[in-house]
Amino acid sequence: MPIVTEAGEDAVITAWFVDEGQACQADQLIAEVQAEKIAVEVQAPVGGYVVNRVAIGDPVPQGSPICEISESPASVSRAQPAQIAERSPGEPPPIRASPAAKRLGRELGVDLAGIAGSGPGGRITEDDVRRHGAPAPGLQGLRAVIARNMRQSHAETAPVTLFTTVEFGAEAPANITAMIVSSAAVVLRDHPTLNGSRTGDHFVPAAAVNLAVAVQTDDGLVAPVIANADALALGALADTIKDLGRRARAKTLTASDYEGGTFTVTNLGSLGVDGFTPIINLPQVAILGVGAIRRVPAFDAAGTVVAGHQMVLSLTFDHAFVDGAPAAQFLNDLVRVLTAQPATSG
Amino acid sequence: MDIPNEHLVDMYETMVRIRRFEERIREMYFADKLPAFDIAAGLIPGEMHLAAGQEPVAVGMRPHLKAGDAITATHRPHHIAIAQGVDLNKMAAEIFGRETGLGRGKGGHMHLFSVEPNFGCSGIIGEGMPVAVGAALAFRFKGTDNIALSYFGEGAANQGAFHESINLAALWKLPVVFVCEDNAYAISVPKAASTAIPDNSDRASAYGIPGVLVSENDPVAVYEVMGAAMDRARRGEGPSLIEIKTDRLWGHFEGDADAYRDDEFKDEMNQRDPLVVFGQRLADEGILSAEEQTAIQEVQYAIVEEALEFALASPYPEPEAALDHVFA
Amino acid sequence: MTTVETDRKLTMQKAIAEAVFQEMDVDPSVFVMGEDVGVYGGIFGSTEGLLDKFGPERIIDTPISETGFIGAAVGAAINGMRPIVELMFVDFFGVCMDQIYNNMAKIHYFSGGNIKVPVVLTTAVGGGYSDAGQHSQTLWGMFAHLPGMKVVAPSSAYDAKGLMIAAIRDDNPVVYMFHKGALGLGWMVNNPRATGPVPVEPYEVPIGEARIAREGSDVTVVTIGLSVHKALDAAETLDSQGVSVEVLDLRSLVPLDREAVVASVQKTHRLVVVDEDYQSFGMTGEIITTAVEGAFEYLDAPPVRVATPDIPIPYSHGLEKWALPSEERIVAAVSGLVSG
Repeated sequence: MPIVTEAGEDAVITAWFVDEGQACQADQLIAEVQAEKIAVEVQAPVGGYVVNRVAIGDPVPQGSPICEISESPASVSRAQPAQIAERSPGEPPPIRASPAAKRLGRELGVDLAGIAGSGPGGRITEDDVRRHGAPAPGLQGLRAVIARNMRQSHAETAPVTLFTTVEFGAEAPANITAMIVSSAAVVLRDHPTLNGSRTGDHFVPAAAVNLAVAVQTDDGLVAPVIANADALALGALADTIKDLGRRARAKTLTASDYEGGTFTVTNLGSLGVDGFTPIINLPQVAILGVGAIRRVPAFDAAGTVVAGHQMVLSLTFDHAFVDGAPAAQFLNDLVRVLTAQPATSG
Repeated sequence: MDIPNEHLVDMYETMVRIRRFEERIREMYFADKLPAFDIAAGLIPGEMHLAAGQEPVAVGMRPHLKAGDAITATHRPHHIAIAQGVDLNKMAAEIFGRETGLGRGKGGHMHLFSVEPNFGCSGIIGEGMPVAVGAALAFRFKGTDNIALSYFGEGAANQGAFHESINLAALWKLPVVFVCEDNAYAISVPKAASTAIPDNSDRASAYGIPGVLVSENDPVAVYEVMGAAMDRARRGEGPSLIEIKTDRLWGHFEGDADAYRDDEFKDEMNQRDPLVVFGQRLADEGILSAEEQTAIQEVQYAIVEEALEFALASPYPEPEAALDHVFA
Repeated sequence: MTTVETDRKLTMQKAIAEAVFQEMDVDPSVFVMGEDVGVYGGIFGSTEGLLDKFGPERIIDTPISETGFIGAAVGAAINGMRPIVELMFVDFFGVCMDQIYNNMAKIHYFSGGNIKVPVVLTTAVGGGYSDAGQHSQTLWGMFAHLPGMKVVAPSSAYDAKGLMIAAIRDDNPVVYMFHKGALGLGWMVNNPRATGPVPVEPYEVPIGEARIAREGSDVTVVTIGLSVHKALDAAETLDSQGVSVEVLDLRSLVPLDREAVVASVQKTHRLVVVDEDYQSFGMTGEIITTAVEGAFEYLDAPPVRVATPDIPIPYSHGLEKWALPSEERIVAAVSGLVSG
C-alpha cells in the first residue's frame, strides 16, 4: 500500500487489475487505491502471483499490505467466492424435480422425497411421479363421513367407559339387542341426563327416547334411529331392529332414519368381544356397548357351582356433561331391569 | 429591394420572434441547472441546440411557402419550425416535455413533428434528407404542386445520406430544395477540416442540378435565392442545392464552452448579428422605423411569453403513457 | 390449425407477388420501390410481373442508395402514400439502419401518435445455399428487439399472401421478411413445402398471431420461417418413433403471440425452440423466457434451443449445413428431451 496522504487516513482499493492468484511482472499495474479522493496506481514491486488481495472497498491503513506476491500460485485462495450456498447440516438435501413433477406431486398428494428420479442428474420427472402412483384414494363416501364423525367425537368429548358384568341364569337370553334396546329405552326415561343431545356446551335432555342402533354394513358402521323406542313392545322393537338392519345393508336408509337419536346401542357381542370403549355418537352424550354372552360357572343361592351366563356392558359417557355416579346408576338400573326380564323373548 | 414590404416586415417580425424564443429558452434551460451543470435537471432537460444568428436561413423561404409544403430539419430546428408557422405553444410544450406538446412529450426538442404545417426534424445527421425526397415523391404521386425543403448543416454534407438523397431527387427530378446552413462549425470541427471543397453548392454539379451559394447571412439574399429554387421545383424542373453562409452565435449546444472558436471570431460574428443588421437596413430604407421595430418587439415578445406560459401551465404526461403510441 | 379450402396452389414467391398486385390494384397510394424490383421483378420474384401491370411510376427501380430510398419511403408514407420498399438482402441493413430503426420506427411515437408511417419493408432472409456470411442471415431477432416496427416472417404460401396484404393495410411500419429457401424458387433446392393452397381472393392473416402447423402432445417445437419446414419434417420422423410433436409457427415476431407459446407448453410440458438466427440474445431466449414466465409449473425439463451458433455463416457447404438448424438437429433435440 503506497502512502498516499499526509493525513494518513485509511485508504480503499478501488480497482484490481489482476485476479486472485494471477501472475504478474515487476512494475505491472495491479491495483488502484484511493484515499481522501486522491487516486494512486499501484505497481507490483516484484514478479510473482498476486494472492490474498484485500477486497475492493475494504479500508486498509496506509502503509499496510494490500496483497502478497507469492512465488507460486496459491493453492487455497482466500478470496475464492462461494460457488454453492452453504447448507446447515440439519437441513435435508433439496429435492431435484421438474416444476411439472412438483405440480403433479401436489395434485396427487405424493411426497416427492420418496421418489427416485429418472431425469438427468437424478431429476424427478412427471413420469416418475405418475409411475410412483397416487397414494390410496383418500377417504371417500361413507368412510369419510364416519372418519369425520369419529374424529370429531374424539376431539370434542371427554369419554369415560364403565364396565359392568350382567349375570344371566342358566338360559342365555335370545335376541339380546332387542332386549337391551327395550330395557335401556325404559330405564333412560328415569335418567334424562344421559338421553338427549348437545350443541356446543349446552346439553338438552330429550322428551323422547330415540335409540340409535349400530348396524355394520359393507361400507361401514351406521346407526339408524328408532324413534320412541320406549313405546314399542319388545316384539315390535325386534322387528324394527331387523328391518333397519336389512335396509342399512341394502343401502335404502334415508336421512330421516338417522335423525333425532338421543342414545346409541352398539353390539359387538356376536363377534366375540367382551367389553370395549364405544365412541360417543355426537351429538349424544352416552353410548352403550354390548359384549358377548358367555357360558360361565356361577353360584346359586346355596353356593353350589351351576351353569350360568355372563355378558359385559360397556357404557361410555361424556364426562363433560355427565358424572360417573349417575352413569353408574343408570347402568345398575339397566342391569336390574335386564336380569328381571324373562330369559326368553316372545 | 424588389421585395414587397409586407414580406420584409413579415421576415423581420419572424426573426425577432425566433431570436426572442431562443433567448428565453436559453434562460430557462440554464435557470435550474446551475451552479453545477446537471444536464438532466430542470424544466428543459437534455440537450439544447439553439439557432440564434441563423434566422435569415429560415425566414427567407417563408413568404414562398404554400400550405402543405414539407420541411425536414435537424437537431437545431427551432428557427425553421417557427418560420414555417409550427404552433409555438405546442412546440414550447414539447420542449418542456408536457402532455400538450407536439409529441405529447415523447419527442422533445430534437424530434418535433407537426402535421400542419408539414414539419419534422431529427437528431441524426442527414436523416431528414431522404425523408424530404420521399415527401416530394408523394406530392408527385398526388399531382400537387407542393414541394419539400430539406434543411441540413455543412457537416451533414459529408454524410452518405446527402449524396444519396440529392442523387435520387435529381435522378427522378423531384420537387426538393436542399438547403445547407453553413455555420462554419460542425460542433467543434471547422468546415475546412471536414470538407474537401470550400463550397457545398459546388457539389450540385455532380448531380446535374443548380447549386447556389448565398455568401451573406442576409434574409433578403436568402429570399431571392430560395424563391427561385422553390419556383423551379414547383414547376417540375427538379431539385436545387443552396448553401447559405450563416452564423451560429452561440455554442453547438447550450453548455458548450465554445472554446474552439476564438474571441476574435466571436466578436466579428456578433458585429454582424443579422437581426441588428437587417433592422438597421429596414430603418435606413424607411420601411420600419425604430419605434415600429420596438413595437414589433413587444408584440413578438408577448407571443413568445404566451407560448412559454402555455408550456409551463401544461401538465406532464402520466408515466404509464410512455407505453402509448408505439403502434397506431 | 387453419384448413385452406381451395384447389389452387402457388409457390410462396408467387403468393407474395399476387398479394402486392391485388392491393396495388385497388389502392393507388400503394407503390413499390427498391433495387431491381421493376424490370427484374425483384431478385427473389417478389414483384414478378408487376412492372407490366403498373408501370415504372409505381414499380420503381432505385439506385443502390438504401438510406436514400428507404428514407424516401418514410417521407412518402408520412405524406399519404403506402410504400412497399425492398431491402434486397436483410444483410444490407447496415448501410441504412438509421432510416429503419431510428426514423421509420420512431416517428409515430415522437409525434405522440399524430403521424403514421405505413411502410412495408420487404427483405429476403436466410441461408442454406452457400451465399456465405453477408448474404445468408436472418436477423429477425435484431429487428424484433427494436421498438416501433412490426416483424413478420411467413413460412407458407398461404401465410405469405395473407401477411403481405395485412402488412400493406397496416398503418404501422412492417418489416416483412421472406426466407429465400421457402419461396419455391426454381433456382434453389426444390422444396415441396414451399408450394401450397392459396385462395384467389384477397384475405388477411392477422399480424401477431401464431399458427399450429402440426398438433402434438409430447413436445412443443416453436419456430419461424424455413425452420418450420424442417420442424415439420422432423415431426414426421419422430412420429414414426412414437413421439408426438406439436409445431408452432410463430409467423410474427412483433407482436409476439406469447399466449400461443404458453398454451402449447402447458399442454406438452416440453419445449424446443428452433431459430436460424444467431443463438445468443435473440428469439430463442425470448421464447424460452415466455414459456418460463407463463408455464413454469408445466415444464417437465429445461427448454432446449436449436439455433445457428454465434459465428459468421460459413461458405463451404458442409460447414454451413452443420451450422444452420436441420431436421437432424431438431430430431436429436426432441429425442433428448423426451428420453431425458
